[in-house]
Amino acid sequence: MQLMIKSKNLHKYYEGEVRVHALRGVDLSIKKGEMVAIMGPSGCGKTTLLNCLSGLDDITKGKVWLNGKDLSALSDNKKTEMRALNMGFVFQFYNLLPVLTAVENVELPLLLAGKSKGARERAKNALDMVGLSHRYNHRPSALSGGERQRVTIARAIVNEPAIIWADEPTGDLDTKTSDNIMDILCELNNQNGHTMVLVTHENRVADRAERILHMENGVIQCDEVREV
Amino acid sequence: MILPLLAIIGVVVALVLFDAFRYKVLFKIGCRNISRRKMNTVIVILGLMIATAIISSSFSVGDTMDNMVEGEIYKEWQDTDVTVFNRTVEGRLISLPYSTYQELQKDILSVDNVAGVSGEVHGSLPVFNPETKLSQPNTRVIGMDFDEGEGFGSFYKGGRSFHPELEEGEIFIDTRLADELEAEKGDILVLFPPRSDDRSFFTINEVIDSKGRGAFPGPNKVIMSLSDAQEIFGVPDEINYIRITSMGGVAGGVEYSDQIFDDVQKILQEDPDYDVLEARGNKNQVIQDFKENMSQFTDIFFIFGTFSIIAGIVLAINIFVMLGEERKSEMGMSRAIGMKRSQLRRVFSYEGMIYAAAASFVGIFVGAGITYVIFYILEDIFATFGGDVSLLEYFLVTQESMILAFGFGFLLTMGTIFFSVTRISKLNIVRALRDIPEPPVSKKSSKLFYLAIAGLFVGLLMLLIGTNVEQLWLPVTGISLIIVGIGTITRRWVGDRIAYTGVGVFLLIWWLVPLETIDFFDDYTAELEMFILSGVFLVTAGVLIIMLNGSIITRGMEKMCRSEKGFKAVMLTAASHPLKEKFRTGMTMFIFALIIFSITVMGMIVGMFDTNVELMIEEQSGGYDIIGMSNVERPIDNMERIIRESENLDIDDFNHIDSAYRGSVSSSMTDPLDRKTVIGIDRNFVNNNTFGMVDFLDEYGSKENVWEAVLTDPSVVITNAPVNQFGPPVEEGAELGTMITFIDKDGNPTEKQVIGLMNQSLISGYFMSKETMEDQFDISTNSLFFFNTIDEVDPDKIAREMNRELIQYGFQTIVLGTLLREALSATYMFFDLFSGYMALGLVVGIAGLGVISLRSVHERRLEIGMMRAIGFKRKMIRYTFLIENSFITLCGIVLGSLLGIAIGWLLWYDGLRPMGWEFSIAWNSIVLIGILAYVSMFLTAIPSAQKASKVSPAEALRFD
Repeated sequence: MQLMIKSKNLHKYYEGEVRVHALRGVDLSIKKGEMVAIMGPSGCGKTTLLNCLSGLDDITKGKVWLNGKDLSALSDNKKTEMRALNMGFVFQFYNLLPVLTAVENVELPLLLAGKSKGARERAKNALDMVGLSHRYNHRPSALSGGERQRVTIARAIVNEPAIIWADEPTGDLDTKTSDNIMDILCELNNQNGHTMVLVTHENRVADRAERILHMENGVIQCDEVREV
Repeated sequence: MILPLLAIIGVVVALVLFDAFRYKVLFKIGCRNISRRKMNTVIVILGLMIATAIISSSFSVGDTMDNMVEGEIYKEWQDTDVTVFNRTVEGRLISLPYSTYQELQKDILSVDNVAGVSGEVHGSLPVFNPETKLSQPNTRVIGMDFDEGEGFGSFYKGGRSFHPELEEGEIFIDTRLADELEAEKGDILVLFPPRSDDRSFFTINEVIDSKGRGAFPGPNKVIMSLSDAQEIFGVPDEINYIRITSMGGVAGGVEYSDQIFDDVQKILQEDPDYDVLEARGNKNQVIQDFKENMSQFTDIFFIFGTFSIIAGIVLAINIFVMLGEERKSEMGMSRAIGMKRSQLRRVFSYEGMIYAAAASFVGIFVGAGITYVIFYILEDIFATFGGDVSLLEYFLVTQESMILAFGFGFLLTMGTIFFSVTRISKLNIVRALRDIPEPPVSKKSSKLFYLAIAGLFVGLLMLLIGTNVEQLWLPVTGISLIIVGIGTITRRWVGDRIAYTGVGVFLLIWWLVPLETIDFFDDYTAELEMFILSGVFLVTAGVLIIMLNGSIITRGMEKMCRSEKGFKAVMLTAASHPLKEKFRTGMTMFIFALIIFSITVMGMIVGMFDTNVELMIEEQSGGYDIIGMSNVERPIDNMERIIRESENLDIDDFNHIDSAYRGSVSSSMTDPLDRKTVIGIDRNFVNNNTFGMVDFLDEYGSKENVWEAVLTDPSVVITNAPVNQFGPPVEEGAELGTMITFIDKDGNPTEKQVIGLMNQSLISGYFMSKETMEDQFDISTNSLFFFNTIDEVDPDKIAREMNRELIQYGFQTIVLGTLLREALSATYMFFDLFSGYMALGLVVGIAGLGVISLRSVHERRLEIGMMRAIGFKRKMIRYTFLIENSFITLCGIVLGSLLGIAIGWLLWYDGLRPMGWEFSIAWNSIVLIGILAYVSMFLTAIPSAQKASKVSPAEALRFD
């Protein structure tokens, strides 16, 4: 299968009063369509790894390739374009724009990527897929936590990205809603073949992934491939 | 000015709107952000509008002044557009035979746009009302031919026009003179004809309005027939004054004034029969000259308002940085899903443009309101000077000014927004998403290093340019930039704290070194911009030192509250937050300190005025109590003899009486209107006066030698120096060592060197010996008298008695102590007005703090919830917020006050100490302003503290 994400000897330092060595030489390959969970104790570098792989954060040393492209060779604008065209993000705290309605929030990545034609329809379709067809015109403040997270998922899939990154997507939700969100993510992975990388500390969530990377102290300790 | 400005605004708006059209969704986000928190929007607009308000108010001050100038000149000149007359060196009007005038009249009437010409006899005479015993020593007496009034309008009484009919021995008087003499129609007035002991009696035919043909610049007028005036002034069949009116009427005539003036001047110069007269008055020129003088007043308001404008800009930066921080995680997500930095800037720019437009619009009207208040106060100040002009009647804001104020305010705000937004857009996505504070700038930051190098380069450039043009602000600012540049470079090795504390300390030293100790700057000129620059650099230095070493202060605060149960925790949290948010705390502290600095400096100046008032009066009065001036038409040969012969004056009441000649001498061979006042003095004056000398040529060694030289050397003069804060403006060109040209009685130029500058502004002119005046200018009339009274008598009472006793000489007195005290009181009022104007910046500071506290509550809900959960009581939360705000405000107030006192000391050391002034600190006003600022802040902070204390811990911890 085609390689979607690859890192080699990936290091990340955080500068500050105390220098923190967050990633200590991570080597990793993720194939297209794989659903990978990254687990580990707090502070082990899970989110840092996700941020570095997705180009949200700069790496200190090493290489990252996304779909064959060397991330470190790209400018900030190119990385941004790449995110807009090929990636979707789901975060723990939703981070929706409070001034936009649900459908406008979902539509935003398309507009940023310059795909304004039919954007509204696609946004509605995405919301339909996550079961929010009755909430198009509600602003985030009028939605529940689970609904907000579903809007972020709709936003993440609306541009049919090759990769979806999810950082603790269920961290702020109750068990039932959490299961519901994971159902949606799994279905998207199965039906659409999105490559999915999710960071979690919940075993119940990680169990839905076909591969689990266990991290500790900035390195991958164990790469567990599972039958789902 | 308007068109280019509108073009720039148009381009900016068009670019932004075009851009918005391309990025509709970004525009939508920007617009919706505005309505997100209405209270926030109101505060943002209020903060942003300050700069426009100050600009608008300085423009509308200008408009109102211009309107007043035009209105008052139209009132006084009415239909007259050009006046023709000439004076002798002693100030008497020169006459022209009536037959010659008739020829001249025909010539003038042939000039384009001339509607009428009136040949008149003018003069200034003492007038006495025997009924009321009231007198007016200097009344303008005008004799005119009533058949010659075409184009000059009618005479008016009680607002209605009437046809003038005067019998021989009858006069009209204006309402002002009638009030002053308490005279009315039918009363008989005594006029004292010039150069004789005669008295003439006239009956008042009518009390007329100063309007139409009965108007003439200045108060107190007597109008009589031409023949009566010719007789009383001893010029039978002659005229000495010509008024010309144009086609345009009162206001429209201004359009023709210049052309008529030039054409008439040409006629006068070309015919030898006419060349004794000159075209002297030009309505348009008078308006322009007054407007130019008034523009200085407008400039002063603008300069003093600069502090508030700077404060407004800093507040705008602060507001946008806070908005950026508030929306950090949203922006992080937007960046994560594909929004570029430029697009992020766009969102803020669209939002900012709407804020800027709204704030600039509001600012125009707030500025106009401020101007209204200014003129309300100015009316009182003018009344102190005896002015009766109703300033508010002239209140005006022109469309042009509104557009300019809006334009400048809008562009300034947009510039500030672009600057702030650039900073905001540089966020790190991961830190923004996780709401982690930005790390400190790396020691090895190459960007900062290059900025420092650029700072050094600009500093050196300013130093070089400054040494060439000898403008003080350039090298002083240049060296300051060099200090900042060096500090920024050294941070690579020593870190921010040591480097920038060093910058702060060196800037303080540099700006507080008395210039007198640096010979290099001796010849450099400095204006009010130094006041503004010193404020900006000193306050920046102080804020740097406090923000980088604030932990020392906060440790002290913690210790102070150690004994109070629970309050150590309050103090610990309250002290740590402002220092954690260094940028916004520093900016807010800067606003407070800068405004308090400016008001303190003003307070220091007023305080030193107060302390040295007696010294000033002593210096300004030259040891004299009364100055008297006789009417030029009725000179006094021997003042002492007259006083001895007087029944009501006692010569023993005077220690000494000195006299001087006074005249107006042409100063140019080509421009007859270029004249200078000359004053002839004698040995008595030299021996008795105690006028201070600001400066004199070194070669004379002492003040006494300078006076001696004036008595003995006809080629030298002394004049008054432009150092005084009140009184009339000094003669132009009054600089030490300059050569002044005078045209002598034979029409030859003679040059005299200014060898000394007196420290007084009451008697303006060039002092030389009486002998020089007689020999070179043929002036030999005593018309200026200086009286030193004994301590036991009241100078005011003696002056009143002299005015009555010497009425036939048109004698007018000034009691120096009284006048100077009145002038000082008006000066204080001006200072108060300027202080109030500068204090507008405090509104900015308080608004800024209000924004910060309100946003703090929102930002820190989780933290507050946690604090409440672990045991902070509501009141402790309240105290935490109030102490935080108090910390910022008190640091700003104390810093601004200390720096203001320091600059006050510097002003004293460099400028006032050499004049013998005593140093003083205006503690009362400084403490009062400090308390006022603190209380205002406290009241503003209470709502946010209350809000914080009401945060429910459960909800905050659950939902935030």
